[in-house]
Amino acid sequence: MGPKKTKAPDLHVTIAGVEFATPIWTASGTAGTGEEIERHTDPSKLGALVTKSVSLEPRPGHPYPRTCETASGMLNCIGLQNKGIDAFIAEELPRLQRMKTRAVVNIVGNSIDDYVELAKRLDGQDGVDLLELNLSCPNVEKGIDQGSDPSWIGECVAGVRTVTKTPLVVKLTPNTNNIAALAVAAEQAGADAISAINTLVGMAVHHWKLSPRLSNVTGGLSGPAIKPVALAAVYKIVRAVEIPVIGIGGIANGLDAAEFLIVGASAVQVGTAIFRSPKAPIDIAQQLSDYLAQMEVESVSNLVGRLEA
Amino acid sequence: MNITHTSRLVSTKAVGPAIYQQRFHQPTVARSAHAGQFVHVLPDGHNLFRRALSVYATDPDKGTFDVLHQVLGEGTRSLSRLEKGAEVDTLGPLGNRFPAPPKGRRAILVGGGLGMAPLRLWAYELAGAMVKRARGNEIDRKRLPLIMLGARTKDLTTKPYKLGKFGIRVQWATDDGSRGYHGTIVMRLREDVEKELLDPERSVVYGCGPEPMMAALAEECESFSIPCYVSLERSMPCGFGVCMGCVVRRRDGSAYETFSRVCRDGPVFNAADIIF
Repeated sequence: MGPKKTKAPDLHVTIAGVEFATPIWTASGTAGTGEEIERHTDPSKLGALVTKSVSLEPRPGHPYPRTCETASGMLNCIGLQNKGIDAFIAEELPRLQRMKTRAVVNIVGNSIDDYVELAKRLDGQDGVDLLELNLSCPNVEKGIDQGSDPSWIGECVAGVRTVTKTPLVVKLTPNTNNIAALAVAAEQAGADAISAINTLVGMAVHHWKLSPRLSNVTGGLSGPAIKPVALAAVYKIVRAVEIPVIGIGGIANGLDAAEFLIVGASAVQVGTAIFRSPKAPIDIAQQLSDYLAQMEVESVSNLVGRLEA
Repeated sequence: MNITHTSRLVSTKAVGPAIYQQRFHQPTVARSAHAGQFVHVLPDGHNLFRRALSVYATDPDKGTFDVLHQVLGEGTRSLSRLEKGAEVDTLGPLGNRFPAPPKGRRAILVGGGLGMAPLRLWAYELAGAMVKRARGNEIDRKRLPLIMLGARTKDLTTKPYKLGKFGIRVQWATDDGSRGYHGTIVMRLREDVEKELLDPERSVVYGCGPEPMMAALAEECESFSIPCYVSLERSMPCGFGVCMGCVVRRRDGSAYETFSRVCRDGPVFNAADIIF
């Protein structure tokens, strides 16, 4: 008798009518626009590549120091350094089209008009499977104020909805007292999915130099430190909306990913873990597969929302 | 190229106060790494991120590479305590390398502290290439790279590893005058040029060390019209270009290129291209 032959668990998920090979995506700002990931790993093994936020105009970002390691996490104040939508379409989109992976293009603006204009420019472009609206960047002036206001979110999503047929994912901030209300506002305005959470506002101080450790004083906290916050946010959101939720926050291995799926996320994004290893999303997908096999769950979608509470 | 490797610790040697030279067995890195490039090593324990360490020496035949580091925090401490045979997760080689000296210019390698590490490998590579070109004939020693190193005090002057066989000279400067010139190494460089011991028209400077020192070096070189390349140190979460954390301001920056990534666009830059 040989070893028992079992079929590998099915990792496919479908979100907003788009099929993804695995539920493990990269998080915005942690995989660039694919160039480095393509150099160092096999992008066809990613569920999706979510691009670094692109804005209408080029943005220089903040001066160094932009990052700081903290207990089980990191702070960043990159400041959305990007080359702007024109250069993105001319230089980055062709690569995303060529890469054998799903592409989610993340957009960021200062105003609703900016988001609408960005969505218009990207509408109908080959290689854009989903649009993710970054309504929650802590490193943008007013980013949190707007992104924690349900009526502003509703207005923004409704505006974008009218100019594009591309499915919309709305990325929410945890820097609010009611993340579920933000999700409901996005859903009612026509969002196809919610992604949560963005980073938490944080700060680190250099005690010998009596100075902040980040050039912009405060930054966004990510990494394993925020996983419990993210799980609780996903838990609240999935109870408030019908549309799929994509979990983000401190996922470093397959079991972390499984926890988000159990709570009710349909997919997850891996961010800070990529900084530790470019292979992280691919390793995590394999670990998730191993976990499903051990749990005798045939398809990843059968794990979603299995929380017994 | 695959940059994800496991490296096995061969030896750890204390070469100064809390300064360690560590040798790892990793044939791909040993054969492909060049001076200026670095490896990104994941320490054991609670660290989320890797530590970027310049390649200090390579032995392609034995498949080993050396790094030099000073224990400054938890990550470097746990590295220094690794047992022989321990395996560490390594990315590399990463970053660009020192560009070759322009024709007719002698390489002057100016370093401070652990900035000596990539300069030592560069001197070794340059001298090795001279020997190879000479095909058994005597090499012109006046054209060998010159190493100029600065430190606070004599105790912190770590001798560069195995450069004796080429006869490469090392000149020192210490802040307290306990070894070599009394003052900074950049002051010594200026005096050497003023005393015509160094010909600016026949020199090219490669620098690595603390940022204020690199800024002073770049300024002196600019005033003497000596081409100057510097290798920069930064805190680097990813090391391969995606996190955008380890930036330096560019002099010619258009809006989105105001900042370059030290890990991916550097760590070696033409000093004329950046703003300290």
